[in-house]
Amino acid sequence: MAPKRTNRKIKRKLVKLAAITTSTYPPSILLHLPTELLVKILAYLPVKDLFSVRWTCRALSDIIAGTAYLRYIIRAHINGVEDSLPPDFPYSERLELLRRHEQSWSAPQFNLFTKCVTKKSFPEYFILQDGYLIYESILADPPQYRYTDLYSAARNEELRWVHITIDNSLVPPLDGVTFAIDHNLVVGLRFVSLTILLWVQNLTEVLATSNLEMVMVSIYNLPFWNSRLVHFILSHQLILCRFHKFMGTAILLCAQKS
Amino acid sequence: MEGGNRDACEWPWYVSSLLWLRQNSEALRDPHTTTPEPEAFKPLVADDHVFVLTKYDENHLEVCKLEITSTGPSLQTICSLELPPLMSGVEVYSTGIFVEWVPTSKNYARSRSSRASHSHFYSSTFGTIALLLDYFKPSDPSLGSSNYVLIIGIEALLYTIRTGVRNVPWADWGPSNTHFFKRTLLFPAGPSWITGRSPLVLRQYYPRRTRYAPSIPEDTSSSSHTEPQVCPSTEVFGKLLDEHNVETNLPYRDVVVNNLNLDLAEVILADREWIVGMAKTSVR
Repeated sequence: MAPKRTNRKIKRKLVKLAAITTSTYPPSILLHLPTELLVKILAYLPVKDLFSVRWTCRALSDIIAGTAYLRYIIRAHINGVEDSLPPDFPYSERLELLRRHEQSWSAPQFNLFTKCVTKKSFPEYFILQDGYLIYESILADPPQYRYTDLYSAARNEELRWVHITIDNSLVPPLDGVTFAIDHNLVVGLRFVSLTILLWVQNLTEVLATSNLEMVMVSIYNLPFWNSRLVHFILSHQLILCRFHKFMGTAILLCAQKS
Repeated sequence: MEGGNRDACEWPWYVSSLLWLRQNSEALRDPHTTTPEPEAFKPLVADDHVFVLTKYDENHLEVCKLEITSTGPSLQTICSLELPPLMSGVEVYSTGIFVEWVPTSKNYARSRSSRASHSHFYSSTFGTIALLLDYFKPSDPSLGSSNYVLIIGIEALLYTIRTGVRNVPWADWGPSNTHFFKRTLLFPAGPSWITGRSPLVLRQYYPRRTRYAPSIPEDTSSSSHTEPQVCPSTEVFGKLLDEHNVETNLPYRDVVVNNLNLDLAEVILADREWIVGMAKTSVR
């Protein structure tokens, strides 16, 4: 009998609370706004708050469920994707494309596109970034780089490689190259050891007093797309302390421009 | 892009990379040293910040934030996350961290639309990363080493970072946000992980979908496809790990692609649309 009495008590309290709520707070002004305006207001919310709103009010929940734009941004958030569609592309159609995209990942169909022979063998390195298959032969002297755009490749035909020739007359030997395709960028890196740095006047005193190990890193960059003959251009020179906690075996290299 | 000196470039770009200096030969020779392998450092761009994940000592994953000031870049340690508890006398070292390639350029969508891409969508955030962990017991070499993968949900990881707690016990962040399993095959493939090559198996983690499932607005269009079953990923391991404490629950699903066999491929590269398998062959 005790649980039933408890339930009745809870019910009575809820009724009281509802009475207080309705008498204390006026009807929501928000819900009297035109739907178009509410959609614009809701569009300002972070996606996780849109989920919360759906649980607070049936009217707002219906508005979200009935608005293609809001449904789209929710589904894109869940899938962790952005689109490259034109800005004026209708959201109802965008939503449909996203739904098909979800389906394609539920039952992916990969078709054999092409088989080809590359004359270079392992342990050369291949990198795949955004459909660009990049080849780097770091053991060659000088290092060789080439790439092919898989999106431009023809089915069952040999891949066409674009060779990148590094003009060594302009750039000292590089110690490494990093590709950042989405930035249209190749970054060449060159390290200068501590002993070479000692002649730098303003560093000598620092080195002598703190016993820090220093590395100078020169960064050269060039545009990636349609590169044939590379003219790396000196962009940055960084002087980095080796991180003591990493026991001098690794350094972090970073270049930022804004 | 017209290069040149630092001041002449006005367009934004951002590049970060972790490089390896082969100067500590002692560390390279000893596989059991706590000195990290180069692959154990991984930059992670989130909310316009660069976080660096490194596993380097005493069963912890250290998360650092890259600070760039006028005096130069530096790493600031934000927090240290405990990894699965170990049995007494067992040590662990990390042999790598795998991260999906995710564009960080603001102009990426515009530049991409000019190419013949089949997909209108691209990853905007890191979903998961994979931390490769090798366990061994120095006092009992006969046990050999045990190789595991720890898949970590990045969103939960960032949430943990932002709580401001410096040392986070495994129980507070690990079980609900990770999937721990014996390592076999593992390659990042867009938002999925390739875990089998014959047939091809894509393992997908959908922490957001699981969390928001009750709130997802219903699509009016009918969906005829069948979603693969989501597994709770509860697995327990023993021998070198504290078997009573290693239980993970990050949900995943395995999608089997029956028409693709990459059995001969030594190297597999993949992104959201392409899988490239590379095999050695002799050509006359």
